[in-house]
Amino acid sequence: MRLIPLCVLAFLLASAPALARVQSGETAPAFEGAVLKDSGTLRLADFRGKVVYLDFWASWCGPCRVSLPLLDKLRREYGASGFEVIAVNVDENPQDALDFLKKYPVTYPIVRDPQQSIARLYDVPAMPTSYLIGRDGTVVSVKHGFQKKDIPKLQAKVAELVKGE
Amino acid sequence: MRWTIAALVLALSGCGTMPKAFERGHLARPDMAWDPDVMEAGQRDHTYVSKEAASGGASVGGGGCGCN
Repeated sequence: MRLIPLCVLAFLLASAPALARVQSGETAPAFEGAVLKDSGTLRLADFRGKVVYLDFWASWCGPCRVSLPLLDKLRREYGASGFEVIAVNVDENPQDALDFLKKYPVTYPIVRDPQQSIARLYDVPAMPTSYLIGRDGTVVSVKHGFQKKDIPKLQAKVAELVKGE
Repeated sequence: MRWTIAALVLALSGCGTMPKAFERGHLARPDMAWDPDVMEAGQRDHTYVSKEAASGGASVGGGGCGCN
């Protein structure tokens, strides 16, 4: 009968990663990763003090075809007021991402995560998932999926965050 | 025996876990689709359904006139 607690423990251990899911109100977990387009390194910590939209995407993700160009536009609008978009690409083959970006070019920094370790760190529950991070590094909101009609709401949020220092 | 069961439970607890959303790159490939061409599959289904005198999922009784 000592076996039952052991079995329970085994199942708890198996489901433990789900407890690590990043939610609003938490500090965004620090990470660093190689930049997709050149050999540079990007650290999330370097963007402390800015409002950051952290976006997990992949070339095979349908809604990302909509989100990338719109996020680029948003960044152009609010970049000067301290807003930055950081994208994490989870393609196993980074070439897929580069081909995608030829069709949908963006100007914001993209980190490559072919081992999907950053995605695991955040326990990204959907594709795409994005985290709006305040100037103090706290996750303000988490967003699953993306639709064109989400932009006005997001824009309002960003405008508010950028203003309120 | 006891430890065999424990080991089995531990091993099996890793099974049946869905791939995470970000791990579905291979599943999203077009050649992983159930129907490689949805349009063609629809047309074939329509023909099959009318020839088999059955409609809807090729299992329910229907007209056979080819008009459904």
